[in-house]
Amino acid sequence: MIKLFLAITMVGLLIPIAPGGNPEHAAPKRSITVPKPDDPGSGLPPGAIQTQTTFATIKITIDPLGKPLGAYQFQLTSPDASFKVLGVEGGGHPAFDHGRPPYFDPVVREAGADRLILAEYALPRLDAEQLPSEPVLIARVAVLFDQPIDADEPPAINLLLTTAGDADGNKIQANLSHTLQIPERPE
Amino acid sequence: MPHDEEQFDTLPETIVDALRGLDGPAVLPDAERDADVLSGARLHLATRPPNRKRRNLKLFIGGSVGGGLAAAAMLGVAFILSDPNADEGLPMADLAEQNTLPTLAEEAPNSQSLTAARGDIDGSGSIDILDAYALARRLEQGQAGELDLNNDGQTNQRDIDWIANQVVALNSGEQG
Repeated sequence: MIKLFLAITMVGLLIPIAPGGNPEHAAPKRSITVPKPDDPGSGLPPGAIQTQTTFATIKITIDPLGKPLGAYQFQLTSPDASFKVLGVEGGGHPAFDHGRPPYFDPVVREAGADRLILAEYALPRLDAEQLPSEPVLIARVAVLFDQPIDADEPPAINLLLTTAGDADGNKIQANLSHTLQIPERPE
Repeated sequence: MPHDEEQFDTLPETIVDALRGLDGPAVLPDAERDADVLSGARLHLATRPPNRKRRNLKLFIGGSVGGGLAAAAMLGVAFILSDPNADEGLPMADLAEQNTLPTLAEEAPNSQSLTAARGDIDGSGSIDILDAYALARRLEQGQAGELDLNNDGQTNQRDIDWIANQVVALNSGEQG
């Protein structure tokens, strides 16, 4: 208890010292002006997009090989290009419709990442007959790669199944596949 | 320096007179003059522009003292946290045991997993989405029992979310 009290006291000492300081000593704020294509003198033709990032959508499908799919967990990696996740949606199958996206770590939305773990379980009230046993779309992931990507040469996307289970929670085999869609840039 | 008694006889007369004057009665300003000097000083200080060098010096001193306190505090915290078992004298194995909850497999008489980690609902020896699914089905059937994983005093959807968020966390060490 004494050490806990000392720790709290010392952390309390840190709090008024650490943040801010004198505003006169703060680093000067920098502003970056990005020329817009429509701005006169920008040097860019109207409608042009000047970017070093690439928006893409990854659709993931799982095939439970004839077994009712009760839950899945997998890891998505992109060894060639780090990305930021802009959004995650479920696949739309009613067995997995919880009214929210599949589980994922929200930190990937704030910082670049080279992997993403997605997991979801079926509505627990459903019977095995109500669960998908054929290939089913389970997730749509909108990502922003941190580099220009040619649609003809998309980066590698690796999907690694961590686990999948049937209606009783028993582990089952399943195959994952994906499609990567990069919207065409306007001419 | 030679000791020459006659050297004091060669002082200029002005200095000798001034020295003699020191023995006279002290001349003190009257109260009115004192008040004038004081009010003048206050007026001067009130209208003087801030001394930037002095403020910077204060900030430097304050920053140095603050930095010293911060460093001392961090060292203290690091020292305290470096030996978390010292107070209770608990071995790490006991602490690990405190951080576990009984799994469903442990509740079952035929359990084969007695050392499963917290959240290992199905007793598989690892935590994954199947544990969240198992707890969801237990809750649906009203058989969740005392599986309060997030320590909020209840067993509910938040405990399922607790497991699921554990398994998708990128810092969980899972590399596939």
